[in-house]
Amino acid sequence: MGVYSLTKSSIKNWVKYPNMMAGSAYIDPASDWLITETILGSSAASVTFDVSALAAQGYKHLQIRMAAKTLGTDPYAQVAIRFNGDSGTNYSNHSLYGNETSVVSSNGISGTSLYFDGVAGGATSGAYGAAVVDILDFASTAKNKTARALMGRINQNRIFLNSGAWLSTSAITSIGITDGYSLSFAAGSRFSLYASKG
Amino acid sequence: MAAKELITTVTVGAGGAASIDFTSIPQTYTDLVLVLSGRTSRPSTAFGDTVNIAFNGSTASFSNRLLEGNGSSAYSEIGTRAIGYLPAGVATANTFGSISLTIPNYAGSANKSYSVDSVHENNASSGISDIIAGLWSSSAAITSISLTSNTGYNFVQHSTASLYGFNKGSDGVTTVA
Amino acid sequence: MPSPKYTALANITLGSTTSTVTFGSIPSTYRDLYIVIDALGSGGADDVVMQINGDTTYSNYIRTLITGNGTSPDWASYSGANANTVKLTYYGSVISAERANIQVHVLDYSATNKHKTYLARANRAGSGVDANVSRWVNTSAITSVLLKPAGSSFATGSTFTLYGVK
Repeated sequence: MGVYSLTKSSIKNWVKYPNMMAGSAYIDPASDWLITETILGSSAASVTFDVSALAAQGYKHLQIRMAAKTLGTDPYAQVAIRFNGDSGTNYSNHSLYGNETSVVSSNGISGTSLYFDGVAGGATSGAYGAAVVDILDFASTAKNKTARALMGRINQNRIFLNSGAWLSTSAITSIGITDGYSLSFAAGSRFSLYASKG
Repeated sequence: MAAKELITTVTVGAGGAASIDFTSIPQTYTDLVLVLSGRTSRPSTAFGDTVNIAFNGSTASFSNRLLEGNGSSAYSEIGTRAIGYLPAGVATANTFGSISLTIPNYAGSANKSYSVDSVHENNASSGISDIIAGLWSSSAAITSISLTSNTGYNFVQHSTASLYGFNKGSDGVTTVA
Repeated sequence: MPSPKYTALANITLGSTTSTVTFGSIPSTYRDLYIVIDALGSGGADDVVMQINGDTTYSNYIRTLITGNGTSPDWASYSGANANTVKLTYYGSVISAERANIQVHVLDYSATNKHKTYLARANRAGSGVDANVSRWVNTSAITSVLLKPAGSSFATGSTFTLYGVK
């Protein structure tokens, strides 16, 4: 009879329970979770995410994924993102992108939203933009909130690395997304909110 | 086993930290993703600070190419260990940069090619945005990661870095050949 | 009720030089696809091609990118009967001498009311870095994705991993 050492790293597909009590719920080791999503059945002027409960649930970072387009005849659009309903001049923006001629770097100071270009306009049926937006430490009360986004559209073909800061050390409790040109988002536009443990 | 798991998070405490370190990284994942929300204590003569990476205590055999914008113009550079640029000094107070680093096959025996998206942020025209292609020319498995300021200053309090591991797998339905 | 974001769908590590890698029978039950490629080519620098559902018609794809080669930034856009429409890389190409990596986000891949827009980041430190957006001009759900170097093959040890994103 041999004596063997059994370590966690040698066990495949292990699961974790918080205790040995009957009925104890399995702890899923996944770090990233889909919290909610909105897929527009008809056009809408805005989408809002309530994230007020997420920090208490152990989430540290947020990600928003969008496959969206707006109404109107232009091929281009941008989202305007606001936190906690703040419409003051409390946002900065920067962008690295191609403008169909060259690579460009731009900035925006003391804006009233995060203005992230890269959403599709309504010019082409079926053409939606793609966006992956990351917000780290969304609930920190020691930091302003920085967002980083890889976004692009094929229609006025552009790819963007966007960034912006909400100049507030308040924890983010809500995220409001509208079109930066005050149009509505088209039916079929999809907005998904994910949260990561950290 | 989940497709993506949190390995650990480092939070810089009062007084700051000269480095952010991940040690004894488990070798059981497929890929690593590191996200950093950071700022350094580089003084007011500058508006930011480059972050450098080291693997397994080694600063050798790194190379990169980056595309960068500074809020006004775009340019491309060749470098070594930079993984982005964080706010510091005169950059808007309380503003931290955001970096995401992906290292496929970190535990394998091939050279380590990695990808970085980095943004700085500042309520001013100057703001640094980077996409970076990096390479560590080493066949060693990555067992530790160290982040430091290029200018030797500290990461300030409240800087955080989270390290995640992706697990490859199969759903039994999707095919690959 | 939250759902885990990622599910590992399939993966392959090449045991020999291989001209194409195809993910097939992709279920429609996720929202996005996330592909991670870590690869060597079999020869000189070569772009990585991505074709969807066996569609080899160049004009069914449109693409734009920004890139940097360490010396200068550049921009490009492709449409029509141009072989570059189906590529994911520019300077972040594959080559036998150096490892490259690519991450691809395909959003709403199973939606039947949208063309398929996807973002790619391609990286090769000895050559350059790319950010790319493409659109497959088709509302069909994506059920297969083929990856290949445009004119050569992937080398032994190259890895390809596919995740579903809820």
